[in-house]
Amino acid sequence: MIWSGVVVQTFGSCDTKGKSSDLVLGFHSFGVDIIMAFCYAKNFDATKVPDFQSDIVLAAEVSMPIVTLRKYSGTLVKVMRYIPMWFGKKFGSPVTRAVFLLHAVSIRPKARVAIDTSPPKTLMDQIDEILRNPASLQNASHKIIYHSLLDPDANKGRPLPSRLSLWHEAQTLFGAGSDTTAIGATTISYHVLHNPEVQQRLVNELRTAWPVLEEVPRYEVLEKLPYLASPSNGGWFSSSPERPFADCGCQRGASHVSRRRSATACCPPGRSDDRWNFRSWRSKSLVMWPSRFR
Amino acid sequence: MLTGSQTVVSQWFLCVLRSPAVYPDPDAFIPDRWLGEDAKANEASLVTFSKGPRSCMGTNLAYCNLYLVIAGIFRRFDVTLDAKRFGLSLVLDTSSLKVLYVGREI
Repeated sequence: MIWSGVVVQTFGSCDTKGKSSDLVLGFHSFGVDIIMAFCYAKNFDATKVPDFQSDIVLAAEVSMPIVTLRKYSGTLVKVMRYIPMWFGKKFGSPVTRAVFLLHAVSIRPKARVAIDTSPPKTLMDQIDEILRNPASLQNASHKIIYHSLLDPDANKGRPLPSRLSLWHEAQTLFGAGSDTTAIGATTISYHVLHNPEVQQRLVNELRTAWPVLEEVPRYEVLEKLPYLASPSNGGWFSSSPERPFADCGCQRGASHVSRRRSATACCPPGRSDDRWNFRSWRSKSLVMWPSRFR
Repeated sequence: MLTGSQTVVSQWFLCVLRSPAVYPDPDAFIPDRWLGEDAKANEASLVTFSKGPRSCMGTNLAYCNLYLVIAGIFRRFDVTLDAKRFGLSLVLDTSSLKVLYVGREI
């Protein structure tokens, strides 16, 4: 409830400033902070950045088209490590600049990114520290992913994951745990805001279960609210077609695991033409457009 | 396919979620479809997180996030779309869903 309070307060501050809030960036910042606290016991404080314009969120928003290339191209990663940050941010396309930012957050030890937390500041820093000193895991406030990934019993006698493998796991969870819920919450809000009757029913239900604003109900209460769960299911349901798969180079029409948006799935055969171009998806990302699948 | 290669194959969940045979009028946002007599059957076909032992490990966390943030925002604020930034068009660019908030007194 703490995190939702932060993002709600941040949205609320926009009320007094008389300007609108970007729901997408707000939800994405919220997702980033949640997953960082939950899986890594770290805090990016993305929800506290004015207008949710944190580097990590902006980078994640636009860098997805080549995230797979970045993940599997060792050469690209090495090159990016030695190109100055100012060069990457100043030149190239918006996507290129974003990738440099995302790379900086995940691997560069001295990157100038909006992280207000104690060291280690990056995912790779944290991995290095744990590998150097496994006892440091005991300092985590709760069990995090590395407790399991580096558990010999859980690996059943197999070699423990390498440093690079751990980094890949970290990035995968980071993206899969933040972008997904952000898109789900955005889609739900979009539909609720366009359906006044739905919005009113939702608010009425919340008022009943949450009569005094200062007395926030526990999650166990909220999850049992039927109408709150209903648009949520509808949101997941409706958000499904907005997940493009083929933006990461699926040319063969074979099974290809994509991480764009909320799904990890196999691209169906024969879907490698322009209709699967990322930009065309993005420009109409929330349009009900079933024929795109035919 | 090469011998010994590992290939992940799964059904695209959209085939289920957008199937009129499974969900009548699948393109419409109808919250009541999750509340009526067919709710249980509808939920059984909700494969957004996949099903079974290989389903999404973050399902509960995702629902937790959604319930907290959606409940928090719509209970605490009177939320409207910012028509100046985003009109009533059905076309939405996810990079700019701008909304205005007015805090509720009670």
